[in-house]
Amino acid sequence: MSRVLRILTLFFGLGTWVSLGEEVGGRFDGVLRSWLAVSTNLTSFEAEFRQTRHLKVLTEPLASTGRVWFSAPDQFRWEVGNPPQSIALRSGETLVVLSPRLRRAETYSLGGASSGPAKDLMGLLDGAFPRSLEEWKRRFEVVGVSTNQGVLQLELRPRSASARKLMPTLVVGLDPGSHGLRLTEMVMADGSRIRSEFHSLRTNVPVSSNLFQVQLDGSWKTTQNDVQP
Amino acid sequence: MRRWLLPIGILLALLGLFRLQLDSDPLNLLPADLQSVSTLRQHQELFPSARELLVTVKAETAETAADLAKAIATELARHPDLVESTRWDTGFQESIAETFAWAWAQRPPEDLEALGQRLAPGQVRDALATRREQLATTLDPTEIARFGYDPLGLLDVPGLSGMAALGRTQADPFSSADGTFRVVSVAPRNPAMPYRAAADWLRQISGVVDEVQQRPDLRNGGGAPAVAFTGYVAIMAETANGMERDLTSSVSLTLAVICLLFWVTHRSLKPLGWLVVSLLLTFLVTLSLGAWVLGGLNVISCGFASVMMGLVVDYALVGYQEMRAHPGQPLREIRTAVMPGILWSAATTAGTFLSLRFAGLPGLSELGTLTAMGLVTGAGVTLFWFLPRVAPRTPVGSATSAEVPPVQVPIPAPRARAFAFAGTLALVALGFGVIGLKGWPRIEGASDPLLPRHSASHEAMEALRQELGRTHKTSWLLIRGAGPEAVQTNFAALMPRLEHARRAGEILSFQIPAALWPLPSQARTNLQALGQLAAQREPLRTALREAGYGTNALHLSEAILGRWQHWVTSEDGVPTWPDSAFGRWMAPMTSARAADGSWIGRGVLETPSTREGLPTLPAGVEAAGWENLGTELLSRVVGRVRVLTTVIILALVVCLWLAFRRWTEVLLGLGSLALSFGLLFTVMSATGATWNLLNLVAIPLILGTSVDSTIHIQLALRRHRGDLRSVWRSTGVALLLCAGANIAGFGSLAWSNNAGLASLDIVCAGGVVCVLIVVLLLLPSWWIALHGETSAPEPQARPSQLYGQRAWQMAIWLARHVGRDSLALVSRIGMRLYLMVRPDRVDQVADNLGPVLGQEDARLLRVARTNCLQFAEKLVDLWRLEAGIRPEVRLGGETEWDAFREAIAARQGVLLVTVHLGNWELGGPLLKDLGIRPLVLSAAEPDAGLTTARAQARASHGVDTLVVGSDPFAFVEVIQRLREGGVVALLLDRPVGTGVETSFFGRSFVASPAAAELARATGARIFPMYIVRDALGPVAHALPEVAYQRADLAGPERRLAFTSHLLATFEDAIRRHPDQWFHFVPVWKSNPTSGGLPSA
Repeated sequence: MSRVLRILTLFFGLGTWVSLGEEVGGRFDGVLRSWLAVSTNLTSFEAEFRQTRHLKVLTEPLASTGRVWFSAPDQFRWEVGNPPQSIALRSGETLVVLSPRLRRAETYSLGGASSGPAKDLMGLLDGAFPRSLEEWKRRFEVVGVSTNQGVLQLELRPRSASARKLMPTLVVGLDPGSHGLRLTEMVMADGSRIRSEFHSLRTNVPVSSNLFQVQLDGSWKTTQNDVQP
Repeated sequence: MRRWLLPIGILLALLGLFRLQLDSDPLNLLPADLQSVSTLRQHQELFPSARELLVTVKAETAETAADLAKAIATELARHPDLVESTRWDTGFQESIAETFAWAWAQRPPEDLEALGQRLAPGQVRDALATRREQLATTLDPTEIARFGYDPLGLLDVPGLSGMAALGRTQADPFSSADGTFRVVSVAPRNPAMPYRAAADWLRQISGVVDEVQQRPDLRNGGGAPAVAFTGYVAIMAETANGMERDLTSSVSLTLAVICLLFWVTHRSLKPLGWLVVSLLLTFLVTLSLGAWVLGGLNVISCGFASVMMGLVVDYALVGYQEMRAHPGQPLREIRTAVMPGILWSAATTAGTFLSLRFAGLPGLSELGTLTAMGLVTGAGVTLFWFLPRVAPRTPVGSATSAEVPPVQVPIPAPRARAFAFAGTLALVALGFGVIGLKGWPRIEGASDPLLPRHSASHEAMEALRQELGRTHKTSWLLIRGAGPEAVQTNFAALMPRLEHARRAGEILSFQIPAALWPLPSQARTNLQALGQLAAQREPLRTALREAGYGTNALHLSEAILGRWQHWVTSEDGVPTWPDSAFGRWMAPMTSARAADGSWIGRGVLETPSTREGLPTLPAGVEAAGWENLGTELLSRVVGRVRVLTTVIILALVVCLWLAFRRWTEVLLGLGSLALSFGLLFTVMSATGATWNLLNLVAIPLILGTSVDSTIHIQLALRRHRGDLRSVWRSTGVALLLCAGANIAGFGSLAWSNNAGLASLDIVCAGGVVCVLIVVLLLLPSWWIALHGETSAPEPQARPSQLYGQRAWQMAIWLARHVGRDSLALVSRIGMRLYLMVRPDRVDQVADNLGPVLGQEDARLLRVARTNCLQFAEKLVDLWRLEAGIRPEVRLGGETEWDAFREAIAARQGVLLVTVHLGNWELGGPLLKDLGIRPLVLSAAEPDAGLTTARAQARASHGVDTLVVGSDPFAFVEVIQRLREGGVVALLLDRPVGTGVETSFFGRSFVASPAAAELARATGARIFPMYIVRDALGPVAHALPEVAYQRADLAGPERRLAFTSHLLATFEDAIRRHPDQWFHFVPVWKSNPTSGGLPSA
């Protein structure tokens, strides 16, 4: 019980945080640079994914499908569910998380001075699309690199302590040859894992800018995440 | 009796010092009648967290910070003698189930009904399926956690959006977002401890914290964590210690500068020692008085000591300078001479400082009161303690006056006038240029001036605010209600308004504890519904397992259901606040009970740093924040300062008019003050200095304390006929010394730990410097430009304006109805008061007596003052005479009058000549006794009515009056009267008509030629006489007859010589009675090239 409460507390940002290993340094710069070279040449990215959530509270994993769009330099759209149950839209420094079923929209200002575990974690959703090594390294450190089932896996640790409270580890899977994105896996504080495997990838094809725009009618309940009503 | 006074005084002083308290509470610096101040004070009193110590920990890693914070909290909690309780987190971690179970109990019954329906056996499976779907698709990590560990949605308490958002946006009050900064709150065992105890307590706490930091298990590499202390106790202890330091350092610095100035000027150790002792005595007596009157000092008023010393030392310097200038003069006379000036100065300066009581800030009010008390005390100590100790035991000869070292100061050449005018223009141009470029000095609205400048506890508080993301202005909201339900109703009314204000940008955010507010009556109503829900435990458990949830997912739901079951079965029911660590933290943080039993909820409001003021709030809600006080306070202070300045300027105009009686000089005084302020503004603008809450009151202070400089310098210019060199040597140097001491007094607080006090004193010191520059360098040249350096107006060439018919008749009426002694007492008091207002009259009399007593005679001022008081006695006799009350006049000696009697008996014409020595008018009744009706030659009085009235009064006791000057044939009548053997009386030392320049006491003197002219025309016998007052009353003296041959008076030169001869017969009498030679206008001819003085 106490472990459960502790984990729950972490999600509310009021508990202790999980201890992490020390900085690995620049040992994996070669891999990173190769990945970065591919990523920086990426003007757009479109894929479908199958997401599996291995949650500690459930006896069986939860599976869902979704789609993702990325447009350089800083726009992306995640849709989970079919029809979409959750949508994350980032454009510049603004991230909007939509819950169509609940008609709920939450806005995060990623450039603001304030921080928090949820906001910091949301800010890492585009971590699989690095544009600058220095900028990317300010947000992540590489803990290890391995190859598993033909996928080059980078084990990353968020530098934001508050993000680490929720997600101590992020795994990015790359194609060993092309360094294209193959999978991401978020390892949560309680050991739960959320794995997204990408397929039907299309790169550098025109993506409608409308995909990244938020157009809400009056039926939506909006929440500005930076203020506390 | 007198021998008991000193011990009693010492005892009272010691008792006062014993009860002296240093008030380090910043709230006590604020006006209690301001609503926001009152709200802040209530917040301070009602909410214990406002009085806690906060220990902050900053480490390189979040783990280190958390470990150390926890260890500090744990270790301090082991010292119950010091600490009531400690906190290093909210306790939410172990309180989730209790908190949410309790929150459901406070909800309206319909919410529980809806929950019951959602969890009913037929519905729960659908609910769980929806939950799973959300769990599968949500992108929000907090939702993943909540949906997983709370499958039944028992954390979805309606209206608890604040709690739901707790994990998203609300900062942890004990930790920064990255966890490297932690806060430990420590509730002291005795939160009301005085500041010294607080300082000791803080030292002990610091010792415990140091020990914790040294523990090996907490040293996990990296840099040592930084630990700091802040919060009420730390701030109070540090502020009080800062006050003690300010008090001692400013007093020491002021004393050091005063000693330096005194040593440079006088180079004498003994008086210097007594000066220091006198100042310290003044300080201690004032401190004791302050303790009795005010009860103690605060951070602002503790600055009184140096300000007071810097001003009081002027009195000692004046007294000591007088003593050195007149080395042979007895102490009593010295004291009599300097007392009016010192008391007048003390009264006016104290009055100025007392005006601070109306400045609107209690701290300043107490500073003003203490300084005023110190000034009056200092005047007394100087006159009755310092002067007796520095006075020589035995009088020394006047030769010692040569020991006074000549002060070498740069003396402006006469040509400096043009240079000074250029300086005026340059100053004005500089002012316009600088202010035109950089603008007027700004007025800061912040309340920062009330806080310490360099304070570890304030820096720690600032770091805490930054780390916890509280970068905006924070205000507390106090929401009142008779009971918790009424408070909740007020929450409901308040929140829409705040939301509206938030949307309008008036506020940034607000937090109201509406979602976690106890509603005991509602909780009692809900017990049955809670019991029914708790009874569903087993079916819910089954449904969860069937939905694929593991045991992990059941713990929270089981715990909440268990709490409900417990409350249903226990006698106490639902507790008022959650019975958990979080509840025990939250309850005193969000609620309080007022003395009348009403409930108060506490909310928090954040407003933008750039925005002033707070939105309008409904009834029952008050808001206040230290950062939002500035504007309100400034508005009050600016209003008060405006009124104060206006009043003081009006008072200055009156003072200047009383001192000068000339609008040109009044305007020069005001102009020099205006330019001084212009210079001060220019310097402030150039240096980027700003006005604030406290230093704004420097404006009336500088005005009040600087006006005497303009008076002294202009009176000196008059006295020395515009001779800049003499003005510099006398008044200029004295002003320089006094200003130096004043600047030391104010300037020593420039390093005060209190920002406002330091800025106030810097501006005051700067203001004194500016005044000094203008008054010493520019004002003299302005004065000379208007009056001319060598043709300066003769000061006070007119009699007093009180000398008029109405006042005279009133005095006669009084003389008729009041006894002589009583009237004499009133007259003397009136004269003393008059001399306080017009001290220049004494100077004038002293100038007139200079040739009589010798210019360097130490008695000059004393005799001049006695002369004025004797004149008051003379007036009484005169009024009584004119009221028909004949005085008893004795004859000076029988033989003195023989020749006069013989001349009368022979019916030879007699010319009685006299001077303004004593009361010659009393001779009328004497002559009447001899059967003589004399004719008195008189000048016209200031108004015609008075001339007539006085002539009628003389006629009533047998004296005819001839007003010379009004009738061109008057002298024909006089000659006729003498030829017929009559008696004519006239005054030699005040010419009626055009006078002639003669010699008197070796000086050029304008006298009346009438006696010589009448002698030549009639051959009348001439008898000099005078009537003076001695211890027994008036006594008439006849001097030997002045014999002459009419032929010897043929030419004007001979008549002039004869007039000088006649005057010379009075020199001995005047030397014997200098205190009764009454002249209040200048009598000595200063410019030999000019013609005779106009008749007076």
